[in-house]
Amino acid sequence: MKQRILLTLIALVALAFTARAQHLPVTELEDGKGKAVSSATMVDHKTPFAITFWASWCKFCRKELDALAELSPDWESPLRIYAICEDDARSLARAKALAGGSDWPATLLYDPNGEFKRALNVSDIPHVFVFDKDGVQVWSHVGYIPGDEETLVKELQKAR
Amino acid sequence: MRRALLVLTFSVLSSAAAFSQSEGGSFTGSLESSSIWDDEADSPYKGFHSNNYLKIAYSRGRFSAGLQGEWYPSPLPGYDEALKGWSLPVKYVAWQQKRWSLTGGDFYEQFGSGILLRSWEDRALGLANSLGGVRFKGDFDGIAVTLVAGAPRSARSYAPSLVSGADLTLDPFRLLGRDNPLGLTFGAGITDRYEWVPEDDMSLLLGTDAPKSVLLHSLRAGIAPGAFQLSFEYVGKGKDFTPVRHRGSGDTYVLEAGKAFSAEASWTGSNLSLTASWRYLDNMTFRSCRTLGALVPSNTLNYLPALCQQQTYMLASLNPYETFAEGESGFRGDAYYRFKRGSLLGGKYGMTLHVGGSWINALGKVLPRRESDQLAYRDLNIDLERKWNKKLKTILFVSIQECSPTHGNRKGTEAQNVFVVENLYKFSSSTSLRTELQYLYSEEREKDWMAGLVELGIAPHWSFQLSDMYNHGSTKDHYWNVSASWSRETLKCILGYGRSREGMVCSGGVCRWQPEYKGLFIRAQYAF
Repeated sequence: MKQRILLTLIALVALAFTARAQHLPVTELEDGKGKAVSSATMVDHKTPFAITFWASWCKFCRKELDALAELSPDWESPLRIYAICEDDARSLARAKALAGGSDWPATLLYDPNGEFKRALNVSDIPHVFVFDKDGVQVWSHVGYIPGDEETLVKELQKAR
Repeated sequence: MRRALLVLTFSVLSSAAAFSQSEGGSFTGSLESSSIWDDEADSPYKGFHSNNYLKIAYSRGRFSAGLQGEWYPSPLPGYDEALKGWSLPVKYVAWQQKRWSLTGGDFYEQFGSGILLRSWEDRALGLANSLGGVRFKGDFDGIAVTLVAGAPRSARSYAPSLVSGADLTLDPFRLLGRDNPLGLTFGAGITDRYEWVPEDDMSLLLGTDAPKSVLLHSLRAGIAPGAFQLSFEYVGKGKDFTPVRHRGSGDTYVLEAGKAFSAEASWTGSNLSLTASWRYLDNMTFRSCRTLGALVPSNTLNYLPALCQQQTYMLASLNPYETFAEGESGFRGDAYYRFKRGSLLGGKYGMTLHVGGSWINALGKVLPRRESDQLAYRDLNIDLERKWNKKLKTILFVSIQECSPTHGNRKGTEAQNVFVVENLYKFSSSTSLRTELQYLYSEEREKDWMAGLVELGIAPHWSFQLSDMYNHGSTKDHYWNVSASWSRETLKCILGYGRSREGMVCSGGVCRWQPEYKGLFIRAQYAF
C-alpha cells in the first residue's frame, strides 16, 4: 500500500513539474438553439477571454454570474466571458430559461454530456479559467466566494 | 501484475510529460480525494473510508491520450464495495481530424437527451459507466454521425455485455448549403446491448426466454425559430425483462417492450422566459447487466432524470423524487421574470422571480394494478431574489411537495412544505456572510424539521461554514456540520466534522443510498 502511495506521489511530482500551460481543448459545444459550436471559435487571436462553468442547480455558480452582471456596467470595454452550462437533460430547458432571462455579461454555451468539462479537468463547479488571446491558459480558480468576481476581472484585464 | 502495470503506466506518463515539454505536447490532469473517518462507536462504517481519483491527459497536435486511476482503500459509505482497491478504469487514445475523430479505449457518450444511451461520470453518486471500445464521430456538412461499440464499465472492470450504437443528426439547410434560420434538425439512433452472461445463468436468473440482445431505437426533431424552441423525442425499446413491483412483496420480472416520449417547448423574451416539458416512460429501464439489478448506480445505460426540480436547499432535498422508469407520465413548467432595475418592484438593483412546478402520474405498474393513473409526485416551487443595496441580498424560497410512497398504487400521499430565507451580506469587497434559515412542515414521516446555516467567506481563499438540521417533529435528531475551505487557483481543500443523515442522494434519474455517518471529512482537489 505504502509503495503505491509513494509511486503515485513520485509520478504526480514528476507530472506537476513537467506540465505546461494548457491550451484550450477543442471539443463540440452547443449554442442556445442546440447548434454545434466548436470551442476553437473562442480564440480570436485579438483579446483574452474567460470561461466559467455553471449549472442551474449550482447556487454559487449563479451567484458568481450575478456578481459579474453587477460589475459589468463599470467595465471600460466589454470583457469576453463564456458561461458553459453543465446542466444535462434533466434541467437543460430550465437552465436555458434561467440564462435567457438573466443579464449575465457572457456568451452562453452548453455542454450537455460534460465533454468540455472533462477536457479541462474540471471536477467541481464553479470553476473559472482565463485564456490569453491565443488560447493559452493563464489563470484558473475553483469555487466561488463573494469577491472572487473582482479577482477574475483583474486577471482577465491583466491578460490583455 | 497490478503493481507492474502501475509502474509501467507512470513511467510512460512521466517520460511522456518530459517529452511533451520539449516537443510541444500538452500534459494536463487532476487529482481528487475525499475521505471520512467515521467515529461513531456503533456505526457499521466505523473507521477510514476514502475515494481517490487521478486523471492524466496528454495531447499533441491531433493526437491525445489519457487515463484515470482510482484508489478506494475502503469506499465512502454508500458507494459500491466492488470498487475497493486500485484500478485504471479509463484509458484511451484518440485522433482528431477536422471533420472526424476516432477514439479507442474508454469514453463517454450520449445519444439525444440520453434516453437512448448515456455513459457519463458522476463522482458524487459513484456513477461511472464509460464504454470501453471504439468510437467514431464525424460531421460532414449537415450530417453528424456517431458510432460506438464497447463494454460498459462495472466497478473496477467491465460488465458482461457489449453495447453498440449509431446516432445521426441531420441539418437539412446545411445539407443544401444554406444557413438554418429555423434551427430545424432531425435525428435518429439505435443502441443494442448484447449480454454475455452464460445461457444457464441467464435462464436461472431471468427465465428461459430471456433475450440476450435488446435493441432500442429513437427519432427526434427540433425547431428553434427566433425566441421560440420546440423539440420532440421518441424512443422505442425491444422486449426486455422489466421488474414488476408488488405491493408488500419482492419484485418479479416480465418480458415487455418499452417506449418513451418527451417534448420540450421554451420561449425567451427580454425579461420573461417560459419553458414546459412533458415526458412519458413505459418500461425504459436499460441496464448494462440485468442480473446485477438496481443496487449499483453505474449499472445503467440510459438517462431517465426525474422531471421535477433538482432541489439545492437542505430541507427541500430531504426526500427527493426518484424516476419510476417502469411507468410514469409527467409535466413540468418553469417561468422566470426579471423586474428591471429602476422599476417599481425591481428597485435600484432589479429582482428575479421564478415559479416552477411538476406533476407526475404513475402508470399503475405496481401490482395489484389500479384501473387509472394515480399521482406519483407533484411540486410547486417559488423563489424570489432581491438585492436591497450594495451589501445585502435576500432570497425567499417556498417548495410545496407531495409524493406517493407507493408509486401511485394507493391513493394516500405524503406532503411537505419547505420555507427558506437566505441572506448574503458583504462587509467589504472580499468579506461576506451568508445565512440560511429553513423550515419544513409535514404531518407525515418524521414531521417537522428546521435548519440553519452560517457561512463566512473571505475571498479569495477562505470560507467557513456551520450548519445544523434538526428534526423537532419526532426523532429530535441533530445533523450538524462545521467545515473550513481553502482554495488557491486550482487547488481546493475542505476539512470538516459532522453528522450526515441517511437517505437518498440523487443526481438526475439515478440515486444512491447514503447511510448515516458521523466523523471527520477531508476533501482535496487539484488540477494541473
